[in-house]
Amino acid sequence: MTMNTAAVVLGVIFIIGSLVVSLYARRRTRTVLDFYLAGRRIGAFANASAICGDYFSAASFLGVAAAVYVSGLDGVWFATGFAAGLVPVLLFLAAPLRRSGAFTIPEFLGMRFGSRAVRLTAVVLIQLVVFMYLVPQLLGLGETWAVAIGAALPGLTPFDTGMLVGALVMVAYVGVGGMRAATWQQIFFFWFFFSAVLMVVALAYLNGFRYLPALADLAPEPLRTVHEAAGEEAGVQWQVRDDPNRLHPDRPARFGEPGHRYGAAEQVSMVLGLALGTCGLPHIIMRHLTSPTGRLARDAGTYVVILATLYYIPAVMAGVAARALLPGILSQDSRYAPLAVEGYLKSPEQAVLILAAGLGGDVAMGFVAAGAFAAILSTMSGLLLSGAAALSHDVYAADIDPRAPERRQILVGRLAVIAIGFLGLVMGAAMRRTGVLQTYPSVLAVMVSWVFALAGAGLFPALLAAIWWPRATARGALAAMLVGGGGTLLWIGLHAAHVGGVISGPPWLEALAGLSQPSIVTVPLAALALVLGSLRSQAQTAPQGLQDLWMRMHGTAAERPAVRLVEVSGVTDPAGGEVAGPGGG
Amino acid sequence: MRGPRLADLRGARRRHDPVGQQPAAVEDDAEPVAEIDAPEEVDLVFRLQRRLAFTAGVVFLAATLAVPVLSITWPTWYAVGERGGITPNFAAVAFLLPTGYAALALVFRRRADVYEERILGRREPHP
Repeated sequence: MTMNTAAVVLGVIFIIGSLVVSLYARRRTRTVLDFYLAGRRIGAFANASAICGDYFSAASFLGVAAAVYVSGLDGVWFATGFAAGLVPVLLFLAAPLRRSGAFTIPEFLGMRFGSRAVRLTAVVLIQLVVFMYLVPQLLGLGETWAVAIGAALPGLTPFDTGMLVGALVMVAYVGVGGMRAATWQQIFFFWFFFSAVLMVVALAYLNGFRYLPALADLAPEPLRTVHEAAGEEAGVQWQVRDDPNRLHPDRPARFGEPGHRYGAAEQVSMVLGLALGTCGLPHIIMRHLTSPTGRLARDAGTYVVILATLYYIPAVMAGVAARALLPGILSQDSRYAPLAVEGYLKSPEQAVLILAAGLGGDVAMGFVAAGAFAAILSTMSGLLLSGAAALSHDVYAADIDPRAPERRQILVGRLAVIAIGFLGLVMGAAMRRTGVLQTYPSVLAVMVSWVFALAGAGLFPALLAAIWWPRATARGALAAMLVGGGGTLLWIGLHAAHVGGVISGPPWLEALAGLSQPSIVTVPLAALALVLGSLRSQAQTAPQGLQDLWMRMHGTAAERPAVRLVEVSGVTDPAGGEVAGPGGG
Repeated sequence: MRGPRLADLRGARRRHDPVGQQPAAVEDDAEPVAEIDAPEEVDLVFRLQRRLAFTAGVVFLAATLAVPVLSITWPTWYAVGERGGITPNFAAVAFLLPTGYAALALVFRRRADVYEERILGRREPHP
């Protein structure tokens, strides 16, 4: 592939624009509240757009279309599952968490349960979530860079260059500008990549694609994917194979039927993991905490669910369009010959990029590549900030130097951003070299689904109980986090070893390790641990200040002055932009 | 999702003692007043919100998990005929569930706001 001029121009504009915005935001970042929560002054619709920018990552942009392209109906579940995950955040967490006044999930859990162990365990889980989420973003960045730009720094491949440039830009951006810069960027980037998805669908329609007829035509089509073939010849050999139906083995795997990706237990487990996992994603929860009031956090959560619906329906359309139109495009243009075998892409993540190039030329491809960069970078900024907040606010400021002035806390936060970015880069490069990326079709979406599984089992039960079950105790919360988080990690490790052929054993172990999605087991286990742990420790004294916290979380007295300020200031629609709110913290 | 009638909520609010928490001084016409959340009122809102959230949560989970369960058990739901076509399974995952989530979110927000508006924020003469 040659360098795409439009992608390069848009990429350079993004980088320079981001750095300018970051420097501007730095002038308005004086306190810890400014750095992590943008002073809690983000209006509902602006925040909803930023949450979408934060949430819709490489998995949502390249990954969903790739999953639909490869797996048909099972791939559509990624889109619907990601949208579903936003509903429990709205129902159970958004308003009470904001009203609690906490900066971060660990601070909230530590405050609610009066437990340092709970807070620190939450910090560890959040770091794991951040890294497991950051790495697929970096890999997606490398993939997009290699396809759309293709340029490489001396001694590096284009893939590695993309990861390095992206990581450096985001570390500089977030480190300097904090949450305010991240918010502005996420709002702009969300609407940019949303328009890129709409453009792809519009191009497909202009080229004769019609969604419902195409779906009807593709539905009975057998699913075939490209695999690396074992051979003695030098170099990698590729072949296209009919895939089995894992859900109904007596039927062929078809585009319009379930079973290409998941068996019976995994179908339910994956949906459960996606539906509950968002509640434990630190960057999404932190964004809700930037709202001026609990009610505006609820408004933002509602807008997010609506925007997600509006976004994912065309994202799925793009995947269907790729399945319908790519065989023709690939057969007509020899430039794509190295990327495909018998009309099927070797790397499904490239489906939307190649589709845009085939339908709208290099400019359209550049636009989509820039959209992919935007989706990835905006998610990375949220991840870096939430990871840094957990380290600097919940470890450094809470335990190591509680009297540290705000300037030093911000400095530690910036150093944490650098450290997380560097470690993520190292992990991404290591994964690239192990060949694990060829293990699954559309591996980015699979990796992200594991993050959801970890967050859903590790953090969600404790958060839910902290807000809605007065009898939940620190011991119960700790048990839930250890069982849910530890169990998920153990399961993912077991599954990875099974897929890699590292372990083998009795049939029951093979069957267990063969399940790629553990939520169906780990979420109920974590909930059980929470209930048993809490009921067995009712004699514990309630944490100091719990009554006040309860009044704050479920009352509105503390935020009413902010609501009135919005009314008095004439901002009848506070969704329009920044509004003043209680500093609360 | 049917919650308590609003008239009942207003009655419940009047029954509580005016023990306030974090009163917020506001100007109501000429007379300064304080807006108060009594612990009993907050507790009532907590219980109503919990019932609302968990009812909506059960509806959400039941609708979401029903789709894969039907995908496992009911061929009419998932099987594509030889001539193609869109199955109920595909329609549910690609269109109906996301649209249903948006509708659920709007209904939930409206009800949650109403509970807080009707029960909390009683106005008393400012001390």
